[in-house]
Amino acid sequence: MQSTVQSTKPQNQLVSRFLGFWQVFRKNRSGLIGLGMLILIIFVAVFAPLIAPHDSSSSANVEIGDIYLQPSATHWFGTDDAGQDVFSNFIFGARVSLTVGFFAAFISIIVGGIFGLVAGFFGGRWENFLMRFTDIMLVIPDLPLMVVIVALTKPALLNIIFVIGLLGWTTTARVVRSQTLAVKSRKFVLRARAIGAGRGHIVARHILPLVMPILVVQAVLVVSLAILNESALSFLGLGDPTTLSWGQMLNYAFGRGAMSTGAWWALVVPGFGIVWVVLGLTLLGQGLEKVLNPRLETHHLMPGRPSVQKEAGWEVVKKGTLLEVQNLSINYVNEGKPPARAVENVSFTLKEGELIGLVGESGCGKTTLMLALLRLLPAAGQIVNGKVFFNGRDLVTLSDDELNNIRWSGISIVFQGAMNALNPVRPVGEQISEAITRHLANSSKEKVEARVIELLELVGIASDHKDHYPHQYSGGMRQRAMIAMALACNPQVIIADEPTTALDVMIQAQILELLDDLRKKLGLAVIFVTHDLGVVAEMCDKVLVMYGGVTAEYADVDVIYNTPKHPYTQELLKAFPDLTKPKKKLSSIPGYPPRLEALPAGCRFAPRCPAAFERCHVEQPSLHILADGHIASCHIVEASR
Amino acid sequence: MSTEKFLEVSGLKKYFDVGRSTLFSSQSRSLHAVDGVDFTLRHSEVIALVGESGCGKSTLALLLMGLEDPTEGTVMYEGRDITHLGDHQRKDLRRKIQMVFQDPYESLNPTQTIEEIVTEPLAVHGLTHERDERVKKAMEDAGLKPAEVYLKRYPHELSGGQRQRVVIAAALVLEPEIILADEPVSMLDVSIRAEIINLLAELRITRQIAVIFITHDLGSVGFFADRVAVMYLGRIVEIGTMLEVLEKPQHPYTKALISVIPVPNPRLRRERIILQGETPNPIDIPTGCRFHPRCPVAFATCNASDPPMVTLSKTHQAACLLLVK
Amino acid sequence: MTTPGAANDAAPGSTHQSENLLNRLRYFLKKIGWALSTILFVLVLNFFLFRVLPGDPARAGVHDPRLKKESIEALRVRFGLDKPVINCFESLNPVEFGSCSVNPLDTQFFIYLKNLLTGELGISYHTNRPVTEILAERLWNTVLLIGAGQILSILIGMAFGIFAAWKARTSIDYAAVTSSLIAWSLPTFWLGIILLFWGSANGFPLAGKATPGMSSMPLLQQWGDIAHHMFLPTLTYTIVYMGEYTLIMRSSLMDVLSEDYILTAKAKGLSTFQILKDHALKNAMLPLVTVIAINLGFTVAGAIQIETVFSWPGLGIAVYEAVGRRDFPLLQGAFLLIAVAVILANLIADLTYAYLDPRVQTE
Repeated sequence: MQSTVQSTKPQNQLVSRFLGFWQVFRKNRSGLIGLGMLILIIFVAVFAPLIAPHDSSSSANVEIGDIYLQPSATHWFGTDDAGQDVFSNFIFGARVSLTVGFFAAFISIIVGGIFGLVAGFFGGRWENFLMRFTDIMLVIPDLPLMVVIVALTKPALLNIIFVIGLLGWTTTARVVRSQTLAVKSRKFVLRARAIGAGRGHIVARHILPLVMPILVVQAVLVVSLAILNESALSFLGLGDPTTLSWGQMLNYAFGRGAMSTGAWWALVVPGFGIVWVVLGLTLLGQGLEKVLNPRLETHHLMPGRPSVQKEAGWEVVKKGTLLEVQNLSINYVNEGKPPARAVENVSFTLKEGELIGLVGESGCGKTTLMLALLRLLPAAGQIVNGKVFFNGRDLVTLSDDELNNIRWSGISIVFQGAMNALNPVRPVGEQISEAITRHLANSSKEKVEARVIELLELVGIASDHKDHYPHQYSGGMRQRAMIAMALACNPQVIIADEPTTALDVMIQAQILELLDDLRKKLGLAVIFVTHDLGVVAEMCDKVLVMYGGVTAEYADVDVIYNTPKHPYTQELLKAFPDLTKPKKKLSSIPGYPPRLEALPAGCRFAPRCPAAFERCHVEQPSLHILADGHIASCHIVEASR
Repeated sequence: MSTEKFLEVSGLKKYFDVGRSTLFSSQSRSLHAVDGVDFTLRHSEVIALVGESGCGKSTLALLLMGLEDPTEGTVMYEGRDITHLGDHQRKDLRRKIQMVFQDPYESLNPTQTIEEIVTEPLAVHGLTHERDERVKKAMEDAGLKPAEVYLKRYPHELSGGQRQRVVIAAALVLEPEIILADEPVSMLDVSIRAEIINLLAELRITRQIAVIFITHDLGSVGFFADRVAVMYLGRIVEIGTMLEVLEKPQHPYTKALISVIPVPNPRLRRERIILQGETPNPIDIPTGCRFHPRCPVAFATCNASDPPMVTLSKTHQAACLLLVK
Repeated sequence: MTTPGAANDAAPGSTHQSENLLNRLRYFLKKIGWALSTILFVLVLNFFLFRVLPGDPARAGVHDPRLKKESIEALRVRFGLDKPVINCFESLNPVEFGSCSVNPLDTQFFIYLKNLLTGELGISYHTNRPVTEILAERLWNTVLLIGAGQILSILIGMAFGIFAAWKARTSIDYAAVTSSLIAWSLPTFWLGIILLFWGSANGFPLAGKATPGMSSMPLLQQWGDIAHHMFLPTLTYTIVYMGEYTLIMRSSLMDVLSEDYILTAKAKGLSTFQILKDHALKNAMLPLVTVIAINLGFTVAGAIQIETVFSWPGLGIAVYEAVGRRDFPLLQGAFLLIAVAVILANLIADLTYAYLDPRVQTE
């Protein structure tokens, strides 16, 4: 029944997946070092009889004078308490220690893997029982229990392997369970169920492939723990007396006078072996983890890149203009790659009390542009040109301290997902008052308190919610709280970055109404970032349409909607549903927005543009001023003028 | 379009146990996710189920797919009761009803190639006959042309719209009669949404597939849906043809919902009916009409009697006491 | 001051406070119940381990053919082996079935439980002293060692972790991560031996907790002497556990610092110091507390090894000695005490977590 599709491909696919993995892994230095360390010691263990200068098991020719001999040409690392060659014992000891480590870890991984998989996948009573048991075993200290069990049975190698293996599965079970749960809750598993796939199929095809990588990382860790446990047991006198593991060597040396005779070599060398293996495994584990679960090693407090201003702006700022952005360009710098031109030559102005809409698809640079206004770009982001005049001062060149004073008190931001933008472990009121105390000098505690209550009531939140945490708020309330916070220091400009995305339509309407009311009441200027053309039409005075990091069109809202000039604006409007014309068929824009690392040579919209001609693919159009306050960047616009 | 009852849902309910209300009481509480839903679906008809989060539309989808067991009520398919089926019968039925999910990033297994994903349903059902041809046809019908280009790729190598097409291809490959699409475009960019909606609209013509289109966005159901059902707190409060619901809504909730949908025309800034507060918790359903605490036109008896569905025309019904004559 | 028209969201407001309190209480009771049931499990495990597995000389002695009948009987009575292990079983190794209708209170199991309630853990084979007495002397020394080591390693680990995360991808960061990885890979006892080697050359005491004869000296001097003795064991402990805490703190802080609310804080104009102090640290502590709780079992393992190397008179060396001398009542008692102590410490960590994270109580 199984056709060729299944019998031949998985192998090729495994190979190709492994090759793909290796391509990434080999760039990971610490992982490679770990792997190298491990391969070396395994090599040594496998070929021990060929490498060891002395036969380890025979102590036939040993005389009293041979005990604890100093390192010499014949005994590179001296001799031990039985007069045996430490270096040779070390090499043979690798066999024992690695055997115990790998076999014990194998048992742990199998037991823990099965427990975790069963608990995570089947849930219910099984999960309850297995996880309670796991939690109990996790709390009971491992080593003392191992000591008790080995002491009560025989300290034979097999016993030790089983005891370490059967007590070391707990963390694996937990890790595998949580990964199984995570995978199980993903939609593709639900989709597989909807197709009619049985449990066996789902586990084999969907759960295991995504649990396996974590299990491999876990296995590496478990091996190192097993080796450490074996050495500790041996050191405590519970090792197999018939074999000589590194732990056992240390036990003998420590117990039989190596300290008092100063025979450091008998103590240092075996321990070095353990450190070597465990460090190798740890580095390998870290490397694997980084490949399988890549994280950007960057955060918001890393120093940003210095801004550059290649060409001067216009410098002239009209009266009544609050914010004037001139030719702003932003790059993302990637090590070893050309910089990604995320935003290029964007200009706009904002007057007092004005509401400008910033529209574009995801990845068009909207958020990057907004963050750049307050120099809040991630570490890789860099302003490479342009000016941002706020009240006549250029924010791009301001010192950090001066800018910090303008942040929030001059320009504040309502972020996209309020759940993430509020600190989950601090009460909401506190997060608002913090901004007030930061910017309004010598305000008393009572005054700040009163102001927080005033702000909350302004956005429609009862003041008794002040001391609650964000998770106790509903989605709409969190967004209101975010708005209250943005208003805290009486800013002149508010940047609202998709403030209603992911909210229900009715809640969205409530928030939009609130923003509109506040704007009128407080005379705020607002930059409204959104992908929703309907919202822009209802709220905004002016619209800036962005595509792939550049200005497509910039004009009054009426012009944009009724006489748009840029093909992108026109197409976007055709794709957007209009409730007042329910029978109108929607048209889509074929293709997808350009990736920043692979921008087209000419106009960035050309590959999707229905009106594109030759020139569009080779030459980037410049910004054409069509009328006062109407700008479009398109070759057609130029031609028609 | 035939008018026979193809899929018939009546009195469908799903309650979830949510545990004890307080520390010491043993009384358990339940969440009324779906609380008595009736509707019928005809052959190759497109019905849109519209509602805000918490209205039970996603649970309803899972119930229809047999991925959750209903607490009460029946689902009939071509005259056969399919509410509670054994694994075997359910599996056969699954070929007839397929589902498309909201998030195309999440609903594809990242370790499978597109070929594996689209072939998988056939393998699960043991359909070996002309497998490659079927896969190819499904993919090309879903707009992945030519199919060979995509077969060996992984989901992360495709764009959002292409991924959603893969999901649709994986549903089409079983040649279903109904596709249940749960918010299939809400995660996609505006410029791409129309192409997925148009694709679904095309399928109903080329393959006579009926579509249950679940969405929170009344704006997107426009030209595509034959009928629209508006849900609130686990119930359908209004159902009718697309034009009836969008142009002559009768239920106050529908009216409000329609009024707040932004229209992309700055010359048409309309009066909006903004409901205050949020949808109540489905654990404590309000007495009487479940919408009355937020209803702008509620009157005295609204909190006492649960309004029945009032027939307004052959195709149009709404549940509001104001409509009861 | 309320704006007309602004919505007052229908969030569960008034019931919040009392519900919160209830939730918190529920969480506490659940955790305490959990700890108690785990302790019960350990009690049962401890009893049966020593009766199911071979190796206890008392039981072996009973079967010694060289002994006279009377001596065997005397031995059986002395170790309580004349009673059935538990209903239906005379003995578990070898398995001997017995009457199921015996008075359950007259079985070894219930006598064991009853003795535990009165703090009775049996008599040490080796010293003939009550095990409880021996352990009571040792317990505080171990608590002192683990306590000092834990506090130091957590504080230093946190400091290094914070610094590494803050200065991510600089040489400070690489140095902190590399040294932490190396520290993590050191077998505890081996590091102890190396430090002992070094200490012996530098005038540190090699064994024990105090210099003999110190008890007649003034208190301050006694303490100084103890601190001198403690230095190397604590240093070993600190180095071994510091590495892991550094790594956890670093990665946890890295995660927190890339959260959106840090960007909010930055946009508010807060200084780096304020952001770290007010917005990052508490959040980043949460995973650390979990790891500390999970690690408690391992820390005991470390303590056993360190005490053995430095002859520190604590529970760990009691375990070591008991193993060496086949002193099973002492081993059984020590294991029980260690396990119970770890379970209780775990409980404390759980409750601390709930205190730090407001989300836990309202789950």
